[in-house]
Parts: sequence; structure tokens; C-alpha cells
Amino acid sequence: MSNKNIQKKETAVPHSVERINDQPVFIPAVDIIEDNNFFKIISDIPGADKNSIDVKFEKNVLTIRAESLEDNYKGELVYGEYTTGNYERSFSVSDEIDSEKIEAKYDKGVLTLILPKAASIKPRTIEVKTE
Amino acid sequence: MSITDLIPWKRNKNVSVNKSRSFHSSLQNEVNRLFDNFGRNWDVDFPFNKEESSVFYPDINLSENENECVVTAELPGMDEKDVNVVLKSGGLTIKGEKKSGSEEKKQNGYIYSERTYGSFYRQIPLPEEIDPDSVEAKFKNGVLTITLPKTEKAKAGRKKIDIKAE
Repeated sequence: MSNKNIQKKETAVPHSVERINDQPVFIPAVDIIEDNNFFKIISDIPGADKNSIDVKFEKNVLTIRAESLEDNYKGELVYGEYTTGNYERSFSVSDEIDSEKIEAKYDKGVLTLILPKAASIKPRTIEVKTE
Repeated sequence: MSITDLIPWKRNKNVSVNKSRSFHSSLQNEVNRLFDNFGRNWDVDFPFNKEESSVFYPDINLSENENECVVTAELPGMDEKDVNVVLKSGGLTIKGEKKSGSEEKKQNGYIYSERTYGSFYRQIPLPEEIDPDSVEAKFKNGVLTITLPKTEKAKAGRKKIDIKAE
């Protein structure tokens, strides 16, 4: 349950910030995986339209934003567990990432970001020479 | 329809309406929900919450108009092969399994793991009689939409009451 709650938790918008629209903003649940060559961020954003997804990298902060506004209702809602809204989440990224080569893929409500590690921090095998 | 069904659903508020047939099952649902909600807004992982890691509970919405009922379920990362939808008398059953990237998990280090994996089973009581032959289900962007047209009999059973002014 705890995981699901993270997905549907609304971001705490500071009181000084006015929202542009009345849609709630959700923090999408993510998995972050580290490999030798890259970091992978997998995020559940069900209902989001591909064209609404916005991935930005600015000042070492990677921000993902998406809109899930299609409610598919017919008539009136008689039982509700989720609402439509926006997804937004930011990640601080160190210089270890090659920001030029960040890739994003979207399939079946899941956004996958691949953040390649910079060449300088990749593990290297050092050749041993004989004299 | 019992009087307990007439609880309004409020947009932008986490109020859920339980549409249960009997008092006992609605009480049971309330108790389950109470436990589910316990600790929901705290950033603390309780041990009993963790036990559910292999079972999850996709969020659903049920809407209705004169001619049909529509059930939508948020199932990110799943497709039609992973989900089984069965219509039985008294309700709709959605079950399936979301496969984790277990191979990835073995090979690589997980830094964060918030997404839910595992199998789920949800049974949704339907408010009226459904024509089983014309039910349609489709997947879009990780959201499953099931359209359930009502039978002619169920449609005929609806009568608008005129209100007279005195």
C-alpha cells in the first residue's frame, strides 16, 4: 500500500504559489536502477498523453511533467478512487551524468528515462603491461 | 440501491464511495479501507504495509449514464495480455499480474523502488443489469476502460418522476 500512496500523493504546493489550473498535481512513483553505464528512472504515469510529457534538464535538475486529463467518464461518476491531474517530479542529478545523451521512452503509461554516466566515472579496466 | 449509496463523490478530495450491495460487505469494506488508509499520509513504511509488496490494488473509477456503465482502472505498464476481465452475475472481475523487471533487478542495483508489482484481483459490483455480449474493453496509456452497456430491461426500469409545483 505504501508504494501506491506515494504515487497518488499530491505535491505540497507552498501557500505562496498560486496554481495555474485547478488540476491536482501528483508525484508519480518511480524506480531508479543503477547499471555500470547508466541510471534508469522508470515512472508510472497512467493516463498521460504522450504529447503532454515534458522532460527538462536544467541546472542539474531533471524534471518530468505530464498531464493525465482524459477522464473517460460517461455520465456521472458513481465510485471514484482516482482523479485526473498532472504528474510532476524532479530529481537532482550530479555531474556524473552525460546530460546531452539523456533518453526518454513512453509506453503503456510508463515513462523510462535513461541517463548515461559520463565517461569519466565509468568503471575502467586498466591494462597491465609487462616490461 | 440502498441509502448508503447516496454519498456524494467529491472531486479533488480523497473521498471514496463504496457501492456495496449489503450492509455487511459495506462495513467490511469500510474496515478494510480504514486499515488501508492508516498511515497513508505519513512518510513512514510500516512493516504491515510492506507485506503487501507482491499484491497491489489498482485504482478504479466507475461512472454511469442512462445507457451504460464505464469502469476505468489505472494499470501502468500492463497490456491486454496481462489482464483478465470477466463479467459474472453481480459484478465485474478484473485480475492480472504486473511483471516486475526481475531480470533487471537481479543484474543491477535498485536505488529506489516505489512502483508496485505483483498480482491483483478486483471485483466491482455493478449497479444494473449489463448486456454481456456488447461489453468492450480497451487499453490506452496504461488505463483500462471497460464499457458495459445496460440491457433493455435495465434501461426500461428507469423512470423519471415528474415534480409538480403547487
